[in-house]
Amino acid sequence: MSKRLIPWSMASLLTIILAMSFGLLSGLAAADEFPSRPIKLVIPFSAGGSHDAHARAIVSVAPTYIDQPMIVVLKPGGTGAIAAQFVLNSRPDGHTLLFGAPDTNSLVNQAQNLPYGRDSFIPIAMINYSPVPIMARADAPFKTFEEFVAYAKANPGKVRYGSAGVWGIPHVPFEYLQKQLGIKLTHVPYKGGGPALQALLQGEVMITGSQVTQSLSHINAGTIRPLAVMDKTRHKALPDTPTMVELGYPDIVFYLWRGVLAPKGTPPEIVEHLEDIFQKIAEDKSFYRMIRRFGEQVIFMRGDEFGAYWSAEYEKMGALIKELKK
Amino acid sequence: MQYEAIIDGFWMILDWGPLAMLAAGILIGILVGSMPGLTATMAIALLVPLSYQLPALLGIPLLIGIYKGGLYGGAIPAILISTPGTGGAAATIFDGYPMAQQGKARKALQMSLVASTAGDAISDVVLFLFMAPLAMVALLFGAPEYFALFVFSLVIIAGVTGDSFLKGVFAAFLGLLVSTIGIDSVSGSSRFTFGNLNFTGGINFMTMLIGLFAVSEVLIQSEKGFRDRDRKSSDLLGAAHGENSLTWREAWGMRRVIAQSSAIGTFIGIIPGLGAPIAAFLAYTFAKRTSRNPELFGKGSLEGVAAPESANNAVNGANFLPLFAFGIPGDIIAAVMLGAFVAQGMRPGPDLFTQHAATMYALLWGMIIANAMLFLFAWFLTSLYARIVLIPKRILFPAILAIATVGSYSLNNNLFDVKAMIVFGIVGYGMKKFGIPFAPMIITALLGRSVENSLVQSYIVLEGKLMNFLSHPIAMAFFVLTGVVLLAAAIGAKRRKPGGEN
Repeated sequence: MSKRLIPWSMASLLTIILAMSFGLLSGLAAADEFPSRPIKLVIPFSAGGSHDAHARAIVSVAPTYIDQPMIVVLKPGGTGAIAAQFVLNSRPDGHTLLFGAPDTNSLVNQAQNLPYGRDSFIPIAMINYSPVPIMARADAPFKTFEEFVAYAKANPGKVRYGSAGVWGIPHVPFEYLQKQLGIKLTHVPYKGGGPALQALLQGEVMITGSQVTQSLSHINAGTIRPLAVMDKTRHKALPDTPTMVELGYPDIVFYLWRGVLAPKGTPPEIVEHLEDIFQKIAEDKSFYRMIRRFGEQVIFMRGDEFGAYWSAEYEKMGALIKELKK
Repeated sequence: MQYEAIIDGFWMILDWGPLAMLAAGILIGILVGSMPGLTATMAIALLVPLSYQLPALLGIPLLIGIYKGGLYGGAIPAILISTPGTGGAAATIFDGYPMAQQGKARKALQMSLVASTAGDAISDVVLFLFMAPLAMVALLFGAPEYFALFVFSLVIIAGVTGDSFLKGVFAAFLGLLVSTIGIDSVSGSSRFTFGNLNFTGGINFMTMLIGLFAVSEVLIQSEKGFRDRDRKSSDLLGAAHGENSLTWREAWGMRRVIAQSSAIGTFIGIIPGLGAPIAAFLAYTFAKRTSRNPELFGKGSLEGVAAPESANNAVNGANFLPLFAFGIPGDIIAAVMLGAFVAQGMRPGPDLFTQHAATMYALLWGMIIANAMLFLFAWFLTSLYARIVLIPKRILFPAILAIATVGSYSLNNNLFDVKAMIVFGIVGYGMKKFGIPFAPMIITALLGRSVENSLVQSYIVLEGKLMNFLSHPIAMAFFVLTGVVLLAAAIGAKRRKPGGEN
């Protein structure tokens, strides 16, 4: 028995060592040329939301500008905290990027004192931002924003709204809305825009903050009705929908931005290179067409400009969260 | 029914380009699916950018082919080396691997293929004919319904225990423990993360499966020193192919199991967020409960291979339904497809079949044709693949360990997954030694989070009152079914006791 045991154990041991060394070697084999392997664009939400859709458009155009494929990786959960941790945990060599949002990067981290903040990520490029809309089921007992407010005042807690995650968008805007308007809604959290939309269609909730990206075809089909947008100017795809400013609430303005972020520690040359790549993608005509089909615009901001926008928003959201938590 | 579009679509797909793409996709899919750690999802994700540059009828058939090929391909390592190639193939190991050990590897592969193709075909036809009404079914499922379905699945699958109810419950608790690891979606609090960032996303399901099935098997075999004794190749390949080939009669005998499992798979596929593993385990469980020979399950029952394989492929076709109807992808693969559609200028949702009817029907026809292609290609490959059992164990099992290691690593380029795999390998080894069943653990690990989330959502939706469940007939139906199953199991257990059961 012992004569036989030695050969297989040696063979297995050697194989295991070999297998593990492959893993280490692949890391060492990183070439000087960036990118040297596929780039991962990590999405902090479930499939079917606006981040997912925009990311698909990005990676479809990317092959024109980079030699390596860019792939979308979904890592939903914790309002994006899981995705953020995943990206921060990876090697900061520009191959793993977060397709960030205020939910993950300005809201939930400040609200729950998560171990990452404004400086944990380097802003590469903002693709666009959209206002937070208030979408209702077409068969809801209110047809306009004013009717909605009246109904909510008369029936506190009866109107359920679906969010894409606790302390995200539209959870924070809707909580702020309730405070300003003196109404009470019931919050049902879902794991992203896709599941929230599903709940709206299913009837489990009466309103959501579903983005135009995923709602447009349903609005056209008449199953969803937009009540208002939290913006200063009307949404181009929803010309008949009033803004919160028009409705008399100039401070209920919230935007969902979609931007590419690299983990802290990414070398400046790679950051620069990435900014170039995403600028080209944002200026690509077929990309523009895809985004327009979603009903959205391309609002490109490069690195520093994006960073300034984000910093200002970060501060504002921090103060807002403190107020909401009182 | 849009008859014109249906006919137009048929001729559109019958062209060299689309057919070649289907074929290429299927071959790639089988190859990728049969390599543990390389999932069809990854293959599709990498090839999707390619599909964007091609017109819709070339790019999307490629992805469809990969998807279907991959789902079948996952059964190959499951049967031959006890390593699931995809999550949905895990249940196939229970009977597929013993069959391979008994010299019936080729028969198992053939059964798997027949079942997969049948499941695929059935759900594709259902999708084709009944899309509109079935879309309504998807809309019936809110949080209380999901919760009830999950509870039902947990109870029924955890109930498929070998001998001891207690061991099954223990396994279920192990799985629940695993599922708690990570950041909680609802409250955002970290559980069992020990300050280590690797734990925050929870344990990777594939890593757990590879460890539980593959690594533990390597450890079990190592006890016997990897000796092959004097097994002749005829023993390993079933006595001159006599026992090792699927006969018409055997295949025909599986029709009830296949029909039943395909129905389960189609149903699970229609509802967003469920997926192939759940379908496979549910089908396996149902097949065992409704079988005339339940004692054969786990020891090489043909039904035990047919059931999960038809279910996991049936999920495939049905998964496109919420995508086409609402633009809500049922799972990750459908999400990738969503991207492909978007890039082609087709926006999934109610408009899809009004604005792009012919193209959509062409793709549906493509799916049906792909099934036939898959069958043809894979049938000839089964003989080839089956010969893997001839490899001497002392070479095969270390190779399995290497494949498992590289496969786990390749999921996230993270050695953490490899360490997790080893831990699960040891756990699996222990479970095998003590006769603790895997299925309950796997299903609770998979569903644990979902059960919790849906319970929280249900609580909110039902305004904190348990009684309000009564106003949800579908949920109540599942609860009643759960009760019936539990009752039947209790009665069955009582009856067996007087006979001095195992």
